[in-house]
Order: sequence, then C-alpha cells, then structure tokens
Amino acid sequence: MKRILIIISISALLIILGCEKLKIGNAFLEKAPGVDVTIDTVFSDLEHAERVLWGAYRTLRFGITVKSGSNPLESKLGNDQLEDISDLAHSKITYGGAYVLYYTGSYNAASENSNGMTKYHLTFDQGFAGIRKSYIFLQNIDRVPDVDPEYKKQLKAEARMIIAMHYADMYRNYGGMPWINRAYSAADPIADIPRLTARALCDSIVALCDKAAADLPWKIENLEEWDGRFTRASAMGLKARVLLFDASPLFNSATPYLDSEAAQQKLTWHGGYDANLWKRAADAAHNLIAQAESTGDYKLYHKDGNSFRKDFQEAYYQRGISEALISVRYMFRTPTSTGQYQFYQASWGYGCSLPTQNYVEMFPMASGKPIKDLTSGYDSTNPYINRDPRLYETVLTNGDAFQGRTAELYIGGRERLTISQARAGTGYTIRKFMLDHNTATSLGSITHWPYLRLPEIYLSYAEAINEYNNGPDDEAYRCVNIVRKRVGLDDLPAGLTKEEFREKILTERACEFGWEEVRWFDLIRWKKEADFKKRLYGMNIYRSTTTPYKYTYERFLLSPRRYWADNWSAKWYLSAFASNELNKGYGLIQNPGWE
Amino acid sequence: MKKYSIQKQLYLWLILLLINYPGIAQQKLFTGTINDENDNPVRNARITIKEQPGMIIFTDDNGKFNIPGEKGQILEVMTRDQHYRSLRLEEDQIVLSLNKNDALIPVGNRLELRKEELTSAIGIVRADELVKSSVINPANSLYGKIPGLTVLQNGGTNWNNDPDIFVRGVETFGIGNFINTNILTLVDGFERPLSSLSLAEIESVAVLKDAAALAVFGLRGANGVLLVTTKRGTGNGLSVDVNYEHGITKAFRLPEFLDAHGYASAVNQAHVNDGLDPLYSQVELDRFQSGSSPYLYPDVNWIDESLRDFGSGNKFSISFQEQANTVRYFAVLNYDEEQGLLGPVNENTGYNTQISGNKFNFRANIDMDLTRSTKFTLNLAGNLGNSYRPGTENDETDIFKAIYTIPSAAFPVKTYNDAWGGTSAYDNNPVGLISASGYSEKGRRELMTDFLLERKLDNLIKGLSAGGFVSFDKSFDYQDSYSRLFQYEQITPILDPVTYAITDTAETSLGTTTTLAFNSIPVSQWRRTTFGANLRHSTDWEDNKLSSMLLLQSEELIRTGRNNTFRHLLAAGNIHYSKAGKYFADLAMSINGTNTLPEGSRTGFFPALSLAWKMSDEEWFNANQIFDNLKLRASWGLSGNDQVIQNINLNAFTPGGPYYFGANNNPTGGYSEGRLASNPLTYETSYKSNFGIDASMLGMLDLTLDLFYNKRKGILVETAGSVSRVLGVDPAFSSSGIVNNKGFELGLNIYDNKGDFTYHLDGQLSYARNQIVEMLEEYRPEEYLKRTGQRINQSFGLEATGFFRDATEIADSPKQTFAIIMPGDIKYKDQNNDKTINEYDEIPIGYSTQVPEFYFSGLAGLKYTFVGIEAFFQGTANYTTYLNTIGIFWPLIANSSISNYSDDSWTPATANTATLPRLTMSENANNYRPNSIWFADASFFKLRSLELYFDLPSKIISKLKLDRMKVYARGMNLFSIDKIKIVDPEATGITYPTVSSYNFGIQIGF
Repeated sequence: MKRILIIISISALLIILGCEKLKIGNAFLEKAPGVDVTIDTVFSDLEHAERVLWGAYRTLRFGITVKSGSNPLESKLGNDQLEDISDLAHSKITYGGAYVLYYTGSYNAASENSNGMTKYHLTFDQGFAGIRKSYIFLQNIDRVPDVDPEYKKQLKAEARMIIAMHYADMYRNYGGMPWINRAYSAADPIADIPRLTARALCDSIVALCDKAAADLPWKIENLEEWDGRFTRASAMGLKARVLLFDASPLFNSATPYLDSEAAQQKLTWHGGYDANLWKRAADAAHNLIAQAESTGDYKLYHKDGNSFRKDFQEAYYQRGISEALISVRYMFRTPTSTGQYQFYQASWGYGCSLPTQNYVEMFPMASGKPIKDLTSGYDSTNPYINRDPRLYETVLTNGDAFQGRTAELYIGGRERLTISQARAGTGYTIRKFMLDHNTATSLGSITHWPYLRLPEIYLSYAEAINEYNNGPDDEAYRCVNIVRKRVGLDDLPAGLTKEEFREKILTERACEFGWEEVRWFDLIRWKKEADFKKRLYGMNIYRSTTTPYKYTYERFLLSPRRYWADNWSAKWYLSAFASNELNKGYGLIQNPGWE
Repeated sequence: MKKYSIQKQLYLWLILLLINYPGIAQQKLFTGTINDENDNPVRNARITIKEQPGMIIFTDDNGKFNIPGEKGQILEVMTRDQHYRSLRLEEDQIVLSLNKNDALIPVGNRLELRKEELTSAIGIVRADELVKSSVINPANSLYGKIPGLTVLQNGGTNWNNDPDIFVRGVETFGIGNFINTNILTLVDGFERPLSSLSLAEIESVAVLKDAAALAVFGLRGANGVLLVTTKRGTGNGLSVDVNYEHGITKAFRLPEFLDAHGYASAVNQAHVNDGLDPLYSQVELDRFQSGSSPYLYPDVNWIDESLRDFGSGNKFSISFQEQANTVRYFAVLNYDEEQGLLGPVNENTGYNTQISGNKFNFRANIDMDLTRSTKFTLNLAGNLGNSYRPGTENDETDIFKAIYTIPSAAFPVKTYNDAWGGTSAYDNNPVGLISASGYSEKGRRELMTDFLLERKLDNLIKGLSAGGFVSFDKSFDYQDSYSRLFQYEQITPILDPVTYAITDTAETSLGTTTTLAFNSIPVSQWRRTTFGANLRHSTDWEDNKLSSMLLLQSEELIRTGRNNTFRHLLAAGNIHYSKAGKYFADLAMSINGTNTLPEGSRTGFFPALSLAWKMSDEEWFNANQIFDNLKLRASWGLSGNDQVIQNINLNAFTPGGPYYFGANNNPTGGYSEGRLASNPLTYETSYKSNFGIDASMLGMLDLTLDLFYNKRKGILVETAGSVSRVLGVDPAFSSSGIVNNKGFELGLNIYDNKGDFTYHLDGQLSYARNQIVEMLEEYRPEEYLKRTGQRINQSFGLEATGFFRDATEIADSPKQTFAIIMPGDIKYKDQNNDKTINEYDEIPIGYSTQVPEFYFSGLAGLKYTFVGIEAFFQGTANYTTYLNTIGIFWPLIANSSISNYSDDSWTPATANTATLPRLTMSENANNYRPNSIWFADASFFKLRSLELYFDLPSKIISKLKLDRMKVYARGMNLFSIDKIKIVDPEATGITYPTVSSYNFGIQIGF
C-alpha cells in the first residue's frame, strides 16, 4: 500500500509539475531574445542613437555600380550607370537596365513595379527608407540624455539634410512627390498622402536646407575623422542645385512639357513661366560662392606641382578636398577584386559606360577652343592630341598613357581585340572613377562619390544669371572661367549671346561632370529633345599593318539605336510611378505619358 | 517503505506464477484456433487473459492454442502483424477469424485502436509493404503507399535525398522562402526525421489526416502527421531475420547534348538569328565533325567522360526479436552502402573520389515487465552515416552543372600538354572537378533514446493506469574536406583570315594547382528533449465501452542557428466511447502552447468530435449479401500550424552596413530598422471536416473512401499590396490569409485465391484541390491576373501563340516589351487587348508547380505456390513544372551547351513546324520567361517497382532449419510515361540524377 501511495504521489507530482508548467507556461515558452535591439535601446545613449543617423547616411545615393544584383544602392540601373542613357555613353550589356528598359523603349509603369533596373526606383533606391530613418532620428533624439544642445542641433540638421537629399533626387526624377513629415507607425493611415505640386516640393526641400544650414557647421574641422558629414555649404549647395532645376524650362515654362492630369495639378509644371525663379536660383548659388570666396574655405582643388590632369582627377576622386560640397561614402575602398567590383567588370569587360564619339567631341582643345573651331588646331587624323585634359581623365583614348604603356583602342589592339567585342565597343572606354583599369591601383583605392562639387555651383550661378539677365554678364563669365582655368583652358570668348552662353555652360558641365549624374538632368531640365533624337556614334580606329603605324578613324552608328530617337515622346523626361503603386488606389497621380 | 531490486521482484513474481496457476480451482482449459481472413492458421499469435497478466501462450503452426482460464474472463489475441481481438470466455472451443477490422492502428501518443473502432481518417502502411522498396531513406519507400499522402521524389544521391511529403496536398503558403508546409513526423511518439531510420526498423507508417486524428497534436497537426512505429519484440522465442541485397543503379534518364558539330552549327544559327555573322566557318565546322584536330576542335561527350553506366550498392540487416515472459525486445543492425555514378574516380593515389555513401543503423527496443503492473520501455537507436564526394566547392551539383552546361566543343578533357582543358569562360572542367579537386567527407552521428514507464493503478481505480516518459535525441553533422584547385590550359588556334588554315596556336595557363587543403567544419546539429506524463482509463458496462486519455508533454528542439529553438507545451485528452460494437464516438482536444509566437497568442485550443456507425452490424443489414462490412465515419474539428516566421511581432533594429566618414578607414556602424511589427500575430487554424466509408464486399474487395473539406485561416500574408511605398520600411505581415482545400481519397483492394493461385490488386487515388480565398493581394487590373481564387503556387505566364515569322509580322503585332523582337521569337497573346504585351498579359497556365492534384498508385500481385510477381505503379496528374534549366531546356544562353530538347527550335526553314523559339546567344527576356512553352505538364506514370520472388516452400526450408526464406529480383523506377521525356519529370533541374535500380536479395528467417 505504501508503494502505491508513493507511486501515486510521484504521478501526482509529475502531473502537478506539468500543470505548473502549463500555468506559468510562459516561462518555458519565453524564448531567448531573438531581437536584440528595439527603438528604446537605440535611443538610450548617444552613441547608439547616432548610429541611426549613420544608417540614414548610408541610404544616400552612390552613383557607381559597386556590385551586381538587385540592390540599387550598389547596382545602378541593373549594372549600368545613369550616363548610359544620356548622350555621353552607351551600354552593350544586353541584360542591363539601359539596354533592356530604355534602349528598347520597353520601360513603362510596370517596369517600376519590382525590378531594380530603372534609373530611380522608389523602394530599391531607398529614398523613402532614408527619409523614414531620418525622421526616426529626429523624433527620438530628444529622448537621449546628456547630449550637448549645440551638437544635438547639428545632428538634427544632418537628418534634415538627408531628407532634403532624397527629396531632391525624387524631385529631379518625378517632380512633385508625397510629402512625408514623420515616421509613420503601422497604425497610421498612410494611404492617402497626395503628391505636392512641383513648386511646393521644391519649397519644402529649400526650407529643409535653410533650416539645416542654420545649425550646421560651415566646415568640418576634423577632416581626418568626420569629413563627409554635412556642412552649411552642403545645405546651401543642395539648395542651389534644386533651385536651378526648379527654374529650368522643364517646370518653369509657359506650357507643360506634356499635358496630363499631373501637369494640370501642377505636379510636373509650375503653371507658367516666372523669370524670378532664375533670380532665386542665382541668389542661392551666389550666397554660397560669396561665403566660400570670402572665407577661402571652399575653392576649386589645386595642388602645387600637379598637372591639370592630376588636379582634375584628384578633384573628383579624392576625399577631404575643399571642393566636394557633398560626398557620399558607401564604402571606404573600392572592392579589391574584379569579381566584386561590378563597375570595374562591367565597364571593362561587359561593355557598360562606353563613351560615345559625341561625348568625345564635346571636349575642346587644350586651349579651350571647341574642335569645330577651324582655328583650334584640331586634326581629325590625330584627334586625341592637345585636348582638354578632362577628356583624358574621363575617357580612355587611343594612344594615351595607360597601364605603363599606351592605350591600344584600335581594332586588334589590346583594349579592343575585335570589332564586335563589348569592351571598348565604341572605340573608347571609361577612365573616370576607373583610373588606369589597373587591378593594382584602381581596385582597393580609397573612394567616395562626389554628389555635389563646387564647380557645379559656379556653373549653375553663371547659367542662372545668364537666363535672368538675358545674357551673360562679367560675373557669369568669371564663374565659368574659374572652372575652365583649373584645367588650363582659355576664357570663354567675349560677346556670346544668351543661347550661345547657355550651350557653352551645358557643354562645360558635360566635360566636368561625366559619371557624376549631371548630364541626364541637364538634358531633361532643358528639354533637350534634339539630344535624345540625335544619332550616337562610336569610333572604329584602324592601324596600318606596317610601321610606322598610321591610324585611320571611322565614325560608326551605335546599335541598338535608342527607341526614343525614332519614337520621341516628352514623357521620357520624368519617371513613371509603378503601376502596382497606382493600383493601390489611394489617388496617386501618374506622370504625363505613363498613364 | 521497502526497496525492491528489480531482480528480486522478478523472482518473487515468477515463484508466485508457478505456485498459483495449477492451484486455482475454477480454472478449466480453453482451446481455440486463430485464422486470418483467408482462413489460414495464424501461428505465433500471443494469447493472454486480461485477468491473469504474465501468462502468455502462443498459437502453434496450425493456429491452435490451449489456455487455462475461467468463464467470464477476457481473452486477448495479438498477432505478429498487429491484429488484436478480445473476447469474453464462454465456450470451451474458440474459433477466431481475424480480419482487417482487427488491425491495430496507431492514433498517436502511443495509443492504438482496432480499425473497427476508428472514427477518424487514418491511413497506414506496414513493414511487409515498405520493405518492397530498395531505398536507404525510408521516406522514399512511401510513394503511393497511403491514400492522401503525396510523396514527391527529388534529385540527389540516394543517401542524401529527401522527398517532399504532403498530407492531403497543401493548404497554406509561406512568405518568400519561408516554408510552413512541413508535416509533423513522429517516431514512436517523438518528433524525428524519417531519414534517421532504416527500413528494417519500421513496423508501420500511419498518416493522420482529419481533425479527429490531428486535434491532439494541437498547433502542430494542421499539415498532417506521419506516425512511424518501430518494431517490438513479438512472437514465440527468438527469431532472427537476415536480409541481404545487392543493387545496381543506373541514371533514370540523362539528357543528351549535341556533339561539337551540332553545337557549333547551333551557335552559328543563333548568331544568324541574332543578326550577326556565323561564329564558325565551314572549315571549322568540318574540323569539329571530322575530329581531325581533337585538341583545337574537340568533341567531348561530357556525360560519357564524367559518368559511368552503373553504380552499385549493398544492403544488409540482421534483426533479433524475442518475447520472453517478462522481457520483450527487438534489436536490429542495418548497413546500407552505395557507390555512385562518377567515372574517372581512381586518378589519385590514396583516395578515390567516387560519390558514395554508407549508413549504419542500430536499434534496441526493450519492454520489461518490472512487476505485474509496471512496464518499463527503453528504445535506443542511432545511426552513423558517411558520404564522400569530390572536393568541389559546393557539392556534387557543381559537377553536374559543369557536365550539363559545358558545350561539347568548349575544350578537350586534357590538352596535348597533358594539362586540364579549360578556357577563361569555362573554368570548370567536369573531369577535372571529379578527379583533381580532392575529396570531401560528410558525416552524421545520431542517437535517439526513449524511456517510458507505465503503471497500472487498478487498485486505485479499476482500469486506470499512469505513465511517464523522457526522450533525448542528438544529431550532429560534420564535414571534412581535403580540397584542391587545378590549373587548366586554354589553347586557341590562330587562323589564316582567308583560308582558315591553322597557322599557330596560343596557349594560356589559367588557374593554379594547389595541394590538398584540409578543412573541418561542423555543419549542423539538433537536439531534442521531450518529457511528459499520461493517465489512461478504460472501463465498460453492459455493451458500453469508455476509454480516455490525458497527456501532458513538454518538448524542446534546438537546431543550429538563431531563432531555431522550438518549445511546445501540450495538454491533450481523448475520450473514446463505443456502444454495442456498432456506434463509436470520439472527443479529442488539446491545449498547445508554442514559443514561436508572442505571449497572448501563443496558446490554442483544438477540439474535434467524430462519430462512426458500423452499419453492417445492424440487424436489418444482415440480409444484405454484398457487404461483409460497412462503416460510416464523420469528423469535424480544429488543428493548428505554428510554423510562422519568428520575432516578427517586434520592430527590430539591426546593425546595418557602416558609413565611412573621414579620410581614414573609420567605419561608423549604422542601424537599420526591420519590418514593422506584425500584430496581432497568431498560428494558422485549419477547420477540417471529413466523411468516410469503410467497406468490405463479396469477401474479396475492400474499399475506403474519404471526402474532406478543410478551411485554413490565419495564414501569414504580406500587406505590401495595399500599403503605400512612402512608408519607407517593410510593412507588417498579417495573419489573414485563408485557403480552402477539398478532395477525396479512395483505396481499393481486391484479393482472391484459387487453390495455389492467389492474386491481389490494390488501387489508390487521392485528390486535393486548394484555393486561395484571401491573401491581401495587391490590386491587379485584370481578373485573370489575380492569385486569389487560384491554387497555391499556380503557375502564371504568357500564352504563346506561335513565333514571329518576319519583321512585318512583328511590326503589325502588339508591342512585346521584354526585349527587341526578331523573327523566331515567341509571339504572345494580348489578353487585355491593350496592344502591348507585358506582365498584365500573364494568365494561369496549367496547375500548381508545388504539388499535383491527383496522386495515384496501383499494385498488381500474382502468386502461384511459391513464385510470385508484383508490379507497383505510381502516378500524378494536374501538375505543372517550369522547364528553365539552362543547358537542358534553355540552350546556349550564358555560354551553355545545347541538348537535343532544342531540336525543334525555330529556323526560317522550320517556321511552320517549330515548337520552340529561335536559338539565340543573348539571354532573351522575351523568350526565356514564364510562358506556356516552358510550363510543361509534369504528370507522370511510373513503374516504381517490379519484383519477382520465390517464397521457398516449407519443405525445403525446414530441411535447412529455417523458418522462411525468400529470394527476389526487384527493379525500382524502371520506366516513366510522361511528357518531359528527356529527364525525370520529378527532377528537371541540375542535380545528381534520379536512378533506376536492379536489386537481388535474399531474406532468411530462423
């Protein structure tokens, strides 16, 4: 009987233990924390809170394809660069975004649904993600104890700059956009945020820039450690860039570029021409230039002993120099193997970003005279001598010093083994950002992407004055010539008309800012229909079989011919909204021509 | 309190036995005969009397027994093949005919019911059927064996592959790569992979299908449960079984690739189609054809160079079982070994690079009666497995990818400098990968242990018993690799530009040769602990029987990796009631908690009610001459599924990529915000209804029919389709998906014997059709684009209407937006008439690519005296596959090879008859995308096994002092009728091929 009692009590104990477990079962079912960090832990001290801001910095646009794949922060247009859909360059990558979507004309609203091959994708390009991260920072930084109020102001201003940067990118790709003013929670109704008008979006960006400028330091004192953070000059520069776009004919015109509901609601058009917008743009640029020149803290890069070429190369490539107003740092060094560095692979082997003959012809002679000028000394049988130093630093041309020898871009040469080879398939290949295409030096070098450089502000200022005053004044000439002088070009000839001067500036911008994502926006803001329609050429270079070698040059039409060259529509100026976004039915209005 | 040693107790009890039995006055001797349904005597059946535990009698060779007992006591009969009957002793002479209704069916939690008493839908297959498969992983013996169980073969080596298993199709879908369709597999009541066992250990596999059977599994049952029961000691005295089998394996199907001349011609055709000049001149084509310069213009059949025709394998098992008075045990040792299909594996000294595997399983299942009322059970099992392969970076798919995608004209196996062939585009010489990459070994060590104690508590309450159990498992996988790289050489001819005469060759060495590098890594591990207790009670009065069960169980499974700990607490109960042996009712329920879900929604209650009526036992039914047995079943209830992505109820911040301020390499870490918190978050609930009929007719036909209708709610779905992108972060998931699933299962057995001649025909047909009712789908402009209302994993694509003939036709047709269109490209139907072919023209094509709707099998067996032949077929229908394997189905792109599947490609000359688009060298996004050309009917009808056997007659084997002996020849996967033809429809990707096998075996019992 005792034994039975024992067994019963053991059984009862087991059952009770079980019941106990069930009752307080949560103790057993409580798992080890699978999530280490929530918003509360993040904003409990400054170091962690700052990381949210650094995380937001990381969403900024880095204009070079780093890796292949679907992350557009790393891969632009699916292995291509924005330049590949401008007249500066051509891509032979048949699976890249330039070819698949733009050259074939198959781009449409559905292209924005899910593939990362468009020039700016609303989720993959992390615009709204960056904005959200910045608002999370802005909304929570006050919870962090013991932060120096001045420093807190600076941090908040940086967060505002990130928001402004993303909206500036969206503004130039889409026009007016829905304005987000906080980090929405899951419970917030976010379905019905309408697009702002182009005017209102621009003003909102400018307001953010102004607010940020007030709290940002004029320059970074500790460049070794903190170069790359936003400064007051960054804010003023971004404002100048946005206002120039705002004043340009795409939006600032007597008629919309394409009539549609979006145009009628002034999402892609200001509703008329207002010359004062040019004044506004000019003033914004002038404010920055005046302050830069009076303090001497920002000026065009030059190092004693450098050649013009070297100055130009270091001006766009190096960190911590005085002319980079906004520098994006997705990585510290470029990837160290060709397999990891997609831009290296793609531009060298697969044939993206092949400079066009049209682009090469934009570069003047070293004297500054355009090659079409009969007095320039341009020799079409020896076209690559005595040219603008920026040509050699931007485009790899036949006979230029390269990898310790001379570049062989003739057919059968080491850079272009056959006529059909993708590499150097236009007779050129890119030098900018790739330097010598030398695995020992081009790979693994310290890098950044110059989102905005001071020369652009000078050229923007000159452009805006020219438009506002109906012709260039001395100040406009002075500003352009500062940029030309850095690479040794002569001053622009006096007496240019407004239109001539404008074209000079646009060419200057093309030569200065190749692969810095300037040309595309210049083409669209000036509604350069003719440049979209024009024929694009490459150059076949043949070398004689006998020494001394003679070279013959043959321009050839690039294929495929771009769809829009023959079927032009102004709709191409701005991106389409994804059809599945429109289909959510909250009233998002499609851009003109993409309905 | 006294302390007894087990031994002491045993002795005491034995003495008691000896003294007591002859002395009991009222006892008399009952004699009886046990027959099976074919009136054959059942030998070695165990006869006991419930009131006299410990006394065990076995039937003799004629099925006869004598047992002392009293009138009114309960006699229990248990056969070796798990049939059970009990009856009250009345007559002196007992004749029992056991039939299918007496078969014991496992119902979970170590309970069994006679088939007659079942009210739920459970299918079962027993060892005698399972061992007719020559497989290593027991899961591969289940094709078509149980109605409602869909088993789909996968490619891969025999010792590694695991088929996909579904019960009643699928009725849920995961998000992204998250799989939530796994079924629960229990071995002797504890969660374990079937692949850990060997066939020799398994007594039966049961599939639980309806709520009545699944409710007690709470949160884990909704996808179905597989109950595996291992063998235990039965029978009289020691019996030993020895099995040996030798097998020869052969690739079931291998694709055929074009030879060098064919490849080069195809490349030329592709160039012409692309508007380019042909790549190869006629002179070069001739060189490929003549083989005159095998190093510069090679023609290599990579399959012939890399594979051999036959692999081989051996299987051996020996098992012992015995039932002594107080101890019953079953012990088995099983060894499987197989050598794969690679050819050049003996090129190295000291090691061989064949793909091969071996596995050693052992098991000891011991039941001990510690006292008359206390039973102790120990199950101890484990396995050691090793597999070997060449030391390629990933696994053997590296090799098959090379074999299937490298063109025959790419390079020679070895160059004239005796270097491995290769080019800068092809760095993966298949023969080099096999014989010059070193080797790699993978090992698995598993140990599984169960301890169970059960005590009858009749003194307390009559019919009550209590038990407790603990179980530990541990599994560990490791990999030791000895890998190396090899240098290869590219030889390019330099041709005279006019005559194409070979003027010189350019030789380039690529890659480097390295020595064997050793690397040892732990690959994965899992460990599981389960413990619990249960109470059981059974009672009867008049013609009522009532039994009930209560179980409390706690389990923990820890796998490698974060968020891979799974804990469950279960309280389950079941009440089974029957009246007059005709009316049955079950009430099952459980409360189950899981750690994968947040507090507040982690516990669920799952009840189920089921009823059965044995109509054929009604008086008025007796007149019926057709039915020997007719039973109706119905059930309704709930079951859950807690396979949900973990931690999504929280909004996590994770360290993100750094940002690089400053001039120095001074990365500052960032945070990024994870998906918004998904709340409320809960498990899936399946509302299951089932109606079933079990019938036996005319003494030669059994039929089981089940109809089911399930509705699954609470499926996790994405909400991105309705949330604006301005949110800037991944929106929350929502537990609001709904899927309906309905279908039926039909099982039919016909059997008869005419003298020495017996035959049986079995047929099974399962059908399950699911339909997505709610998935918060994004808006789609056309009705036909909607996934809601369609099957889970329904294939969607464009409808091809032919191929473009010329530029005019292209210009006159709706614009196809995926690529620049050339003649020979696929022309699609403009479904919405918007003059544009884009994603909005994709319609449902075919069926699901995940699981077939029809799954059926048939078995035909004939036996004349001791010779028999048996054929087993299995097939599927309403099943679709996407033929997108580069090299096999998609030729030439990505520098790949071309198979004879592409023979019907479009050319201007064959424009009228072509079935495939033009050849092209570019990854043409117009042609190579989901469309009606690449979605193919994956239905098949396979001869899974064909066996010729000799059950040697007792005259012969008794001379050999043997109990039984069977010799057989068996072919597995001998042929398939299907529409894919060039490869196995069940494995269309790049994998180690599925195999046919020819096996010769002998089974001896003594």
